[in-house]
Amino acid sequence: MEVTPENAIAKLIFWQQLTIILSAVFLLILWGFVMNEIIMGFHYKTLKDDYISILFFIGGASLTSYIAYLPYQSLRALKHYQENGNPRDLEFAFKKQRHFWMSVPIIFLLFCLLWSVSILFLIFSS
Amino acid sequence: MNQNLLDDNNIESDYKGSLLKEIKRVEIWLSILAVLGFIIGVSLLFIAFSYFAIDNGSTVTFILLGMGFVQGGLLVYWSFVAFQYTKSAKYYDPERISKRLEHLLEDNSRLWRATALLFLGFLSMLGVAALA
Repeated sequence: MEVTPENAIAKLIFWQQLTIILSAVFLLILWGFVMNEIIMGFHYKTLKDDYISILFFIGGASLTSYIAYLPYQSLRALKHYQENGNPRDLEFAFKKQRHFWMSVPIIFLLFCLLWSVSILFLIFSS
Repeated sequence: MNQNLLDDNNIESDYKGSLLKEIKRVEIWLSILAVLGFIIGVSLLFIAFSYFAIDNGSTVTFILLGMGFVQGGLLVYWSFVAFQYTKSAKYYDPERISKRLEHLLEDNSRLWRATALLFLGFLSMLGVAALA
């Protein structure tokens, strides 16, 4: 089948929309987990002792929410491009996509760094 | 939508330059992700396969291992699609008819399709694990 511009942009919008919906479901689960941890902390009065882990959970969930927001921005720009045909919108869409793909290896590296630092801390503190 | 909106010749030269730069900037990050995805995917395939051979557990474990196997396959597929998109971004040339913007967008939509499938597999695994 011949690739037409309309088909290509419509397909891209459809699949990006589906990814955003699925990532929103994942975010709901993630925030549900974080809220559950906080409520349990209140309930068993352990919030004061576990505040570092709760802060890590909230930070991680907020960062994940921001990363999931990037493809949404890209999708909005693509829809504007579909309506107006302004190349600046297409450039913005590609930029937001790049930020999304960039964030994953950076977070992976941060996670590895955090993991190795905590292991070193455990080794030297014992 | 105007038939020629995506025609690269309609894009003014200053836009064309910055758009081209933006398209090419993604290469490095997607290459890293493709390599990571391939390594994790193949490891997941091997782990799930080896547990299949030795595990005599419950039906849920069997289903989860099967889903883990599928997820590994999806990750390998994702890294292949990411590699293909990286290649088309690298060789994207607005002047050549065979490498026009619509072909790049088509490859980009394939990448998002693979990402959606990956999320779908992951969420179904979470769902099965929660129900068990």
